[in-house]
Amino acid sequence: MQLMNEQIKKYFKSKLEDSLDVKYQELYFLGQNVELIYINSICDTDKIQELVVKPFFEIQDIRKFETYLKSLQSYQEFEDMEKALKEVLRGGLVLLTCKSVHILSLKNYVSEGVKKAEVETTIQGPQMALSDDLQQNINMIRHRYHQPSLIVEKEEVGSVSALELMIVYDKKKVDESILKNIKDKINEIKSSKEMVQSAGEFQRLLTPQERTLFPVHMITERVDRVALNISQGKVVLMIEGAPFSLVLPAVFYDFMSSMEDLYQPFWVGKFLVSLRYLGLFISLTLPGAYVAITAYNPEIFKVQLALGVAGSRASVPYPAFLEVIFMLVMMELLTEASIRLPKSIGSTATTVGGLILGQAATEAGLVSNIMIIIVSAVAISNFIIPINEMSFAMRVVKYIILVVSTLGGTIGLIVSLFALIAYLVSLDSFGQPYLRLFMNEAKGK
Amino acid sequence: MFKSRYYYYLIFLNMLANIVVFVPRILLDDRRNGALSAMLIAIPLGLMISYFFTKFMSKFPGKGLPEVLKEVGFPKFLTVPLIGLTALLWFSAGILALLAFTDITKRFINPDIGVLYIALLFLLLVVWASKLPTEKVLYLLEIVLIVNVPVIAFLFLKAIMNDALSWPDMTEASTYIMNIPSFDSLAATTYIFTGYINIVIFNRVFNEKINMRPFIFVIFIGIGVVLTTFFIPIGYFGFDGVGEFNFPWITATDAIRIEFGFVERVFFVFLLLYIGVALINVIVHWHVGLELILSILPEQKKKKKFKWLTKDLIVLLIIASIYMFIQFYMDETTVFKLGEWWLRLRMPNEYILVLAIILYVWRKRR
Amino acid sequence: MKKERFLFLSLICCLFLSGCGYKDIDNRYFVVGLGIDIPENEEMKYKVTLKLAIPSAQIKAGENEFVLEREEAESLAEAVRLIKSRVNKELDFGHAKSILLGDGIVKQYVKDELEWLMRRRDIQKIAWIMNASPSADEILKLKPKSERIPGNTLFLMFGENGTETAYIHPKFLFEFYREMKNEGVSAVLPTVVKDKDDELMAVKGAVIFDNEKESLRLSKEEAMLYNALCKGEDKSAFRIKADDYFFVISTDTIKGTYKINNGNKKSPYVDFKVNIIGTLEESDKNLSNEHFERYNRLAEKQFEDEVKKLLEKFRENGVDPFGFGMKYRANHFNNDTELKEWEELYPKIEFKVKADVKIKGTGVIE
Repeated sequence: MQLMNEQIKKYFKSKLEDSLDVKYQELYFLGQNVELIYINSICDTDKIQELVVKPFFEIQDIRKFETYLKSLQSYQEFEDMEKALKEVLRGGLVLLTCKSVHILSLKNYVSEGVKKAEVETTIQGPQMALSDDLQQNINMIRHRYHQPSLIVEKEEVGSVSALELMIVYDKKKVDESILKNIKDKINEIKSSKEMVQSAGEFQRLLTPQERTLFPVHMITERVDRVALNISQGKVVLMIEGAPFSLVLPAVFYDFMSSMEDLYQPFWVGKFLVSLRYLGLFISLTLPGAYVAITAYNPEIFKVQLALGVAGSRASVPYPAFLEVIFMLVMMELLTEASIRLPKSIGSTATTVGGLILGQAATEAGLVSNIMIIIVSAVAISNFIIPINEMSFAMRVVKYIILVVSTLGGTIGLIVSLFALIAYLVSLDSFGQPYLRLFMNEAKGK
Repeated sequence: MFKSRYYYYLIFLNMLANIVVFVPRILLDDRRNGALSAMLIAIPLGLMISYFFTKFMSKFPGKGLPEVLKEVGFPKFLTVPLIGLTALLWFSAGILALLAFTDITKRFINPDIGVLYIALLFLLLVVWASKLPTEKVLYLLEIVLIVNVPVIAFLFLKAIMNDALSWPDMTEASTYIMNIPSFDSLAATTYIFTGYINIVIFNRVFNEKINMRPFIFVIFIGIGVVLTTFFIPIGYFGFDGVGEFNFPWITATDAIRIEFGFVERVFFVFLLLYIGVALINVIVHWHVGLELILSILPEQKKKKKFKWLTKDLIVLLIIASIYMFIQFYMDETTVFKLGEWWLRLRMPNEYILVLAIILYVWRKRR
Repeated sequence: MKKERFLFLSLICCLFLSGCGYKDIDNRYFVVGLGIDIPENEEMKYKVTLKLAIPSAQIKAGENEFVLEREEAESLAEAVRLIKSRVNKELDFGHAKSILLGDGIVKQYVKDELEWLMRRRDIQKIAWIMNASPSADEILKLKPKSERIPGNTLFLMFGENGTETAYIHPKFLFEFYREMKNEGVSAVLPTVVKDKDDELMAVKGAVIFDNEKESLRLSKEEAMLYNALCKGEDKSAFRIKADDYFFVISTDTIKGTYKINNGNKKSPYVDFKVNIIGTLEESDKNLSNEHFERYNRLAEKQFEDEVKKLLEKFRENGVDPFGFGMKYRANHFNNDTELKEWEELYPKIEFKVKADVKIKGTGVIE
């Protein structure tokens, strides 16, 4: 046995190299000795002191000490050296007595704790967001979903980063085929990439096509949304170190709904949802419709409006589609700038962009007044889409519609909208059709 | 899982898509020669055939016509021509609708744009979308109908409620009811009810028996649709003047005005929405045709080169090039003549096919 | 996969290659008024006057800038082409919502002009068509002070968003087409005249067509009575004369209904009923509430006389703006002979007019 201990020590020494924070600690007392191997930067050293060092001296009998260790909550059986090494890398502690090897998981996870939801805010709903600590997340989810059928499973992703991944679902409600599908996928991609650090990155690995536009998995930070989705039979994936979870499968409607809809009175909720679809429609079609109508079919306008638009465009030297593209790109730049800038300077960007640029561009005769109205309407209605991923996707789609309508007029507009719907219908999210009407009805059956 | 509502969508789609182009023109040309009496015969005829064929198909839940024929042991040498003929009928229905709407787009919406351009735009969408899985075609159909139909229905209502509609003209048209029914009008009107043929393929996804109770609405809507097709243009352009239009129904919508609407001339709204309906109609037609053809074609050999050129794409490209050929080498009168002849040939063909299948199975069962 | 993408890209390139009808809105001249007159040059057939709006970003009263373009040619299409060659922007007829036919044109056959108007896809079928006296040019030239957008006065007058009066009965292009084409009804056009004050225009009277040219002109009062009876234009006022005083009834509802009675072939007659509900608006004598019955009788009698006179005038001149003939056709099943029968019947038909007036009150004061 002594031999084995030596072997282990050697193995660790060879693997862990000479890092500063790797500790090989030996405890001697009354002729009995144990050895501890751990990385002190990721271990809770107080706990080591409390749970291991102190009792060792108090209990005195090594056999008693071993049974004591086995009773600890964080105790793990030693299986082989590789597993032990993995444990140590995650903040575990390997304890060698003369006869046996024990592993305790005493990790100290630096996290920001539970924060308020900031990406998907609600006015009156629960305010908690997921944190980057998986234990805390599971804790929060369990506290929102008191069902014995709630299952938590553990996986690992990234061959180098080897982050922990939790699969959470309700065994009674989940669709077995979808679950199996997801697990197969995870096994497939487990080590295909070295570094996987965020839910979004993982999502890209999950999607079969290389190049996609529309999200088929939902990324959310809201605990209540996670709980709701679990109750709807969906599977939730959480990656260590990222305060976002991945919900599978996700269909189009999920991206258009906010948790707020459920917390409002019925008609208010319905109104909000319809407002969102209106916003989506406006942000998609308005630039295309402007070009198509002014350049191909001005008879659609009322005569008063047609003359007004023509008048305001009189000083603009460029064709309408360039005008639209110019202003839209300016607006995109503005949005990007205000996301990436530190909050303290963020407001400068909006002032410079929105006020000065908008005003000056019309006065300089680069764009027409009506264009400014259209661009701001597009921007505002785009922000109304509650889930960011969808909102980004729609931002891109808008340009496709614009190009087709520039080339084909109102027919192009209709055909491109039709094609968009057809494309969304053709998508699948883990065997679930992405877009179809009356989805709930089918689920209820 | 698949509700029978999808079946009614198919029937309804066919009604809606066909009442603006060939059918009203044929009916209105015949207005003094027995259009009305032909309509009166065609309505029960069309409804009855669709009722019985649907009943027949729903005895085989989850199976399309090719599978049904195999199951009942239909002679093999007859199966291939029968399915091929049905597919051909349906492909040509799609081609004609596409031709008509390319023409309409060119004439009413974008006169300055090239036909090639419109044709390519439509073809890209239609060819791609008709390759979708069968159930996805139904989802798409449902969305398009639910988005478009309320607005179209509102415009229909607006057209009927219009003060400028001349009732004496419409009554005058109805005094021709005693004429001998004309065959052309009969063929044209039954075409409105021919949406049931689609279930030869879509039955594959109807796992349960189709609920036939709402069929009673089909009767009422059908009658309403046929009557509006015929009477609305007469009410707007007069009994004597209506015969001079290429697309009487579409020109008639130009007579509707919404004073307080965002768009005063609703004609454009109507046309654009209708193009959506027409496109999904072509997609449904071509999808059915494609699936039928695929069921009689031999299995595809694996090939190394041109992997993307799958069997279904080849079929669709052939059909698309036929459409392109007609589009560029025939003038509109010829196209219209073609449409008329097609309608004339379609009715007997379709009914013989349907009756042959039903009778064969019926005798076999006995 | 790569090949497929290549194919797709080349298709997209095709789309770019083909010419498209892209034309920005500021490169278009909107035609807001279309006038047709007889030319000064005897060799030509038409003089076309187009009122082209000059758009302005800020819309202020009195700033209705427009350009008038006139051209004389053998045909309307040529005249428009000639104007096109002169202006620097593309002409857009999509908003040509008022079409004016000068007195000279109305006296000739207006068949060809009508065909041209109906044939063009960009001219709205809901454009208002009217007779301009003395010529379309004179009316289009006017520049009313209150106008903010060129041509808007006519749009407001006819569009019934603005003023509402029984003197104006707007006529849509398609209605005019219907009346011109139909046997058994005479087309009617409202007449727009230049007012004494040079900057204003007014609708006064109407023109009734027979055989596609002017046959009878109605005075202002006759036109109002006709509008009220035929179309139920209800904002009308009638002055009723008694022995030594008069009063004015403003109508809330007015309805003319008729029935053709030809049971007795020798003396056919039209039963014409007029129902009026109105209020007293003005009088030169203190009228008492208790004598409403008497006023009703007085008004009824006067209406009966006036309507009968109007109907007889129509009959004497051989015009039929009410469409008695159409009604006759609609009620008879002998479609081949009914028209001839009616043409023989009409000159000897009698009118039995029955008025029913109900005065509801005396307005705000007693």
